Amino acid sequence: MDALREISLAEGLVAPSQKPVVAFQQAFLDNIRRNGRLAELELIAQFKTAVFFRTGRPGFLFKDAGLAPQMSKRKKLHLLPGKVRDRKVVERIFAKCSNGAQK
Amino acid sequence: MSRIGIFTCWCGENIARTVDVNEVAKQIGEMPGVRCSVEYKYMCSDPGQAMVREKIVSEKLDGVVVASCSPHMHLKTFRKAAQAAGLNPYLVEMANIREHCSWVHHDRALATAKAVDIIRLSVEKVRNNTALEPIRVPVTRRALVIGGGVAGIQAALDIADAGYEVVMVEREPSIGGKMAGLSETFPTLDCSQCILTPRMVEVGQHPRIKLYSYSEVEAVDGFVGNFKITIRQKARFVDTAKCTGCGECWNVCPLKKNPSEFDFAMGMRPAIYIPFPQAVPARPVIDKKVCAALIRNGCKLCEKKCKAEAINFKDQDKLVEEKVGTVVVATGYKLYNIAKEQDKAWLTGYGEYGYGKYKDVIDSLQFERLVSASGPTAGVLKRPSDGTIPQNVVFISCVGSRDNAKGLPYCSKICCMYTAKHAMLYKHKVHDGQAHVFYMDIRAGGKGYDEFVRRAIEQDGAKYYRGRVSKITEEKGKLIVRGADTLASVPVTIEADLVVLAAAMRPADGIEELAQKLNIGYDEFGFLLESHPKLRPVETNTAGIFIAGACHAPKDIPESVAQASAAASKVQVMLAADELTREPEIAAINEQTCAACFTCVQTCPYHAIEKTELKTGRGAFIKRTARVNPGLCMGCGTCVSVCPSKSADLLGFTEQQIYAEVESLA
Amino acid sequence: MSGQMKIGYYPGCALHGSSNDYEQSLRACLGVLDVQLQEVKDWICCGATAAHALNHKLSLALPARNLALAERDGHKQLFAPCPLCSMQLLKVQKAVAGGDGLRAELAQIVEADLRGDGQILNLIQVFQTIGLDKLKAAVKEPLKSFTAACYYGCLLTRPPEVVHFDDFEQPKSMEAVLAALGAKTVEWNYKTECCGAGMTMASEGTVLDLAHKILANATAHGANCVVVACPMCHVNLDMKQAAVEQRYSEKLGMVIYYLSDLVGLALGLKPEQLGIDRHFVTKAQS
Repeated sequence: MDALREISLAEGLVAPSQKPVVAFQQAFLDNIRRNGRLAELELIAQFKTAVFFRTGRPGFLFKDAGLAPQMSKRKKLHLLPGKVRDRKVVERIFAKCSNGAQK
Repeated sequence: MSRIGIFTCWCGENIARTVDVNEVAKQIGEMPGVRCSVEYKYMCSDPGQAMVREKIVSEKLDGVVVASCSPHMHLKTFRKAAQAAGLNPYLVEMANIREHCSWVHHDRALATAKAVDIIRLSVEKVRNNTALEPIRVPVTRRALVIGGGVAGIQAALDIADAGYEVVMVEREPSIGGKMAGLSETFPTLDCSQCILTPRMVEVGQHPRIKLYSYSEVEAVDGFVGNFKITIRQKARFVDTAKCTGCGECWNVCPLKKNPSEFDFAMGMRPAIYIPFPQAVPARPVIDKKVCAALIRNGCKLCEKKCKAEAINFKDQDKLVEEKVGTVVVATGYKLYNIAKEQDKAWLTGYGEYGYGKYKDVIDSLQFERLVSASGPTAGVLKRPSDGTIPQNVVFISCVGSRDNAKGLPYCSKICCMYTAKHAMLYKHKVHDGQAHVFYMDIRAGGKGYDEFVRRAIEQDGAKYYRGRVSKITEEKGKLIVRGADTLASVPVTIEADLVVLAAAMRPADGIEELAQKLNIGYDEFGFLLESHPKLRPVETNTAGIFIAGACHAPKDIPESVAQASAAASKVQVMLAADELTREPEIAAINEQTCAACFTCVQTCPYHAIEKTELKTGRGAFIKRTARVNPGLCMGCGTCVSVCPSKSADLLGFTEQQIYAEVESLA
Repeated sequence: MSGQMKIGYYPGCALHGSSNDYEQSLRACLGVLDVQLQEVKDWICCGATAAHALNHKLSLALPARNLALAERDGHKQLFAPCPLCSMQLLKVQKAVAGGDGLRAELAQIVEADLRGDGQILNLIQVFQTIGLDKLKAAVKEPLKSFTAACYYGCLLTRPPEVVHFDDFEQPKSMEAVLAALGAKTVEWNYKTECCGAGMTMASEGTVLDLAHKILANATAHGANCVVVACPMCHVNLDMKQAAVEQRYSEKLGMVIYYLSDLVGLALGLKPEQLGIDRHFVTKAQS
């Protein structure tokens, strides 16, 4: 299954309905590349902005906005994630996995 | 040998295209000991053979080499020709310059030189050949048939009608096999028992068939023409000679709720029972696992009721010996157990179908019993869970078959046909019911088969979905079947009342132990191995033992019957004379030099070597020695290679001959 | 509890992010059971769904780094409470055991020695390692009023050739834990059906439809709560339950517990200690 995903991405054959999914996953990878671990608020912001630019619909930006205070109340909102001390190694891992043959 | 004749064949273009036949004949003609060297376009033809015969006589040849194709093709032809001319047939050799030379090389010069070398080897061999006589083995002109299903029945009747005695061994209380339990058979929708029971009765009454029912083969000794079979007659606890089959005993038995083996647990039977009314022999059997009298000396109501005084709680298993000349194995099949417990580590069952968990998920043989007129519901199709008539029935094909990941890789051949049949029978019984069939392919290759499947679809309205079922769950008494229709590219969910799984066909339990007793081969699935898949489908590699029916591979009734008759005809060939002849190219042991280490006895794959003693005329002991049984030896040469004292040798392929051949090349 | 158990601990991003109620729950409960969790130093994200969907090599490298770090810290057993993390770690172990120089290649990429021989545990396996009879003996308040639908989701039992855990068609390991706690469980048909996992943001409709089927089936089979051992499943069934109710105009009110919640309650802990009050759907509403 994953092989088909990678092939369809490489050949630019992503179905329109699935583009938000790909955008989310790409945002996810960018996020952990920078931070070592997932910074959730940053991911949500980046993802929603990416989809907004693609579709031009502000509704998506503000959907789930009502969830933010609910999550904060339950102490589930973290402004900053726990820090990975050796973040550079993550960048190097990504670099090594992005060159040439992706087997 | 000093008067050897060489006959080189052109084989049309097959040899002559690459090998210069004239050159070969000329060169070989100059070898010492070669009396004449001729060539001809088609040595195997009538004029070719006539040439061989003529030269044997005119040149007084004492050895013949035919340089042509593989001995598999024509060795028998040329040996017969030599024999007709008065030369011992074992003084004839074939040099294969076709498969071993002209068919595999392109360079004419090199191929011609190689052909000369190949023939030179045969000349050296023939120089050292000895005249051999075929081995004659006396034959017991009786046959054993293991298995009393339709294949066993057919084979037994054919052999018995030809005039020979047949011993039939069947491990169930009655003969009839799986066919006795089917409702109707494809493609004619004949009532299965109606067409089988006359045959069963014929077997039971045939003057030349000795039926051991409720019995198993315990041990097999001997060799082709001379088998000694030990049969275990399991204790019935009923004297079949006294019993009249009146049925008082099984009517009065208080232990009525035992799952019936014949009904595949769709119905119940008492502790003393007859598997079905038309059983042959129509004599009951007591289930010693549940009978109160046998377990704790209680009850005994049947004994009290029996007017013929046929009940015998003291019955024991009996061992009986029978001598036969040939054996036909027709032990039939069982279905793949779809629930999780399996008898092989590499099978995992199909937990996703809920078989064993949901009462209304059954397999195909269970469905047969539910629709059979003599079945536990008298032919009314009722849901096992609540007894209501199902309005939607889902049939799933290929459960366990054609599955490389978790099942068996082969096709079970009959399921497409019986699934169509089931859909039709269902519609005939439940007029406004709907049958749904999930399939991968439709395999309907027999006579009238494809038309049969079309009938199920076009006349009886069965819905066919090409796709597999991923999961079956139960909601509020209905079975939710989730599958796919790959031709329409949509998922399909059906709320079914009953689900029938077409489980894979496997050989019956105990096949591997039986095959080992008989010394015949079987594959990783247990199916018995035939001698040659195309040309020898009913023979095995063990002389005198034949196979027929589903124990060989999944097959339907017409094929089983045909195979059974084929096996019977092979048996008749073997039993036609008082003696069998066997090829004499077997091992022989020099009993003077034999050190009696018996390594050969342990290594021989055919158990063809015996330990024996040499004695003087007055019985005084001289020495122990190994001796080859000429009836069993297949000439494989294993003993020759392991004998430390070089006492074992192969007639026709002696070590001296082989060394001579090799040295001729140097 | 005799003898303290020390195991390596790989929380994963979810448990330090919005699913930190799961971490609170398991720390409280395992604390009572005398299990010491030693967090892997400087762990990184395992790659989750994004890595294996977009970049195969990365999907092996990121978990491999964490395996190497755990080995470096000397852990023979590694507890990963998120089934996607634990499945990825097992996937790398299996790939590396296949030979072909993969271990050396990954070690080079992640810049650390890699053996791949540790034992990876999910939450249920931690309780199995402690021993269900020991667990039963420690129960102070049997969960008599709980009739639970045990929800395994996709990754606890699949792919079977990777995780080798429980029967992947009809799993029963969670039910066994609940039986030790005195709770009743129901037989239902959506034990291993997908909840939509990481699609919550990108394909919300899918998640709501799948979550609805799961919650409806649990209700139909008589459950008064659903038990999970996965942070994503919890989010989709708990945090999203209000959206499911709105989409289907149904009142569901099904409380979703982490398995550690129920173990903790049975051991006598209060709901607040376990973070149960931080769920979206609480007993007060249902």
